[in-house]
Amino acid sequence: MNPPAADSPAGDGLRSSEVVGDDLVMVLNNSLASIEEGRLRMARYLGSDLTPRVVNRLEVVFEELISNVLRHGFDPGPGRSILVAVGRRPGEIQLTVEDDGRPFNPFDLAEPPPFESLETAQVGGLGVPVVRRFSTRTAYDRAPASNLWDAYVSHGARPANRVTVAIAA
Amino acid sequence: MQISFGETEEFKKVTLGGRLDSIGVGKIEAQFSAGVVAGGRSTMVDLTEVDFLASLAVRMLISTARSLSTKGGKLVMFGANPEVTDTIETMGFDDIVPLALSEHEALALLRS
Repeated sequence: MNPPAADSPAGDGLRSSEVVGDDLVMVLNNSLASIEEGRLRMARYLGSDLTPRVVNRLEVVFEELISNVLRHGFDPGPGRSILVAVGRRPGEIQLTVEDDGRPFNPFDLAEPPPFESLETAQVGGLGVPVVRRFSTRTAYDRAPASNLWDAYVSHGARPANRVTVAIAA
Repeated sequence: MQISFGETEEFKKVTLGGRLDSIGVGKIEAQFSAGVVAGGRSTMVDLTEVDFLASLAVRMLISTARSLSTKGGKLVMFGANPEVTDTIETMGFDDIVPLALSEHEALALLRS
């Protein structure tokens, strides 16, 4: 299957996007610009009926998951991409992020200790905990060969990290 | 992302505006940290115009507060909107970098 035609102009970060069934499917490039372009496209898809609190929580989760892949999953440079699917479900918004980078389950990481003092505070690894806390469900699997990924990105049958989370709407 | 520095007789004040996301933090982190820590004066961070805050911003704020504390200064935030407050309180770092509702309350915290 060929990659889909884009339903919005491609930028540095957003390679393509389209609505498949009721879900938004985006392919993001390996660049920080993808976070902002993907966020704006996601906002346009979701519309204006969500509360600011839900929108913020969704944007935090999106930012943390994508930046995590960009920083830790890939080496810098072109030729890698991230597939994102966003869908409305009864009472929640589901967000799925697939990347074909290094195997990595973010939900295996231990919770950081509570903040007790400036001297002892952990300053790294704070993104995944807030994803957990803002989500009603989280899941990870290492897909041996993702049909969705292969269809949209045409990388061939690469295994992919697939993270799915849901945020209460 | 916007950043500006001001001074009162007692304290320094930093005003931030825009999105404190990966790109925004990358643009201001060095200026923020250097500007706050220089001189070691206790500092208020005005978040009134901040629309969004991600974990990289938390790292920046904690690291800067830690460096400032080694010089005897305190860092206090104020004015966060309800969504930014939700993120800060969910992450729990207001336990070590206090978040005040208003500038008046931030001043009181710095004087305490």
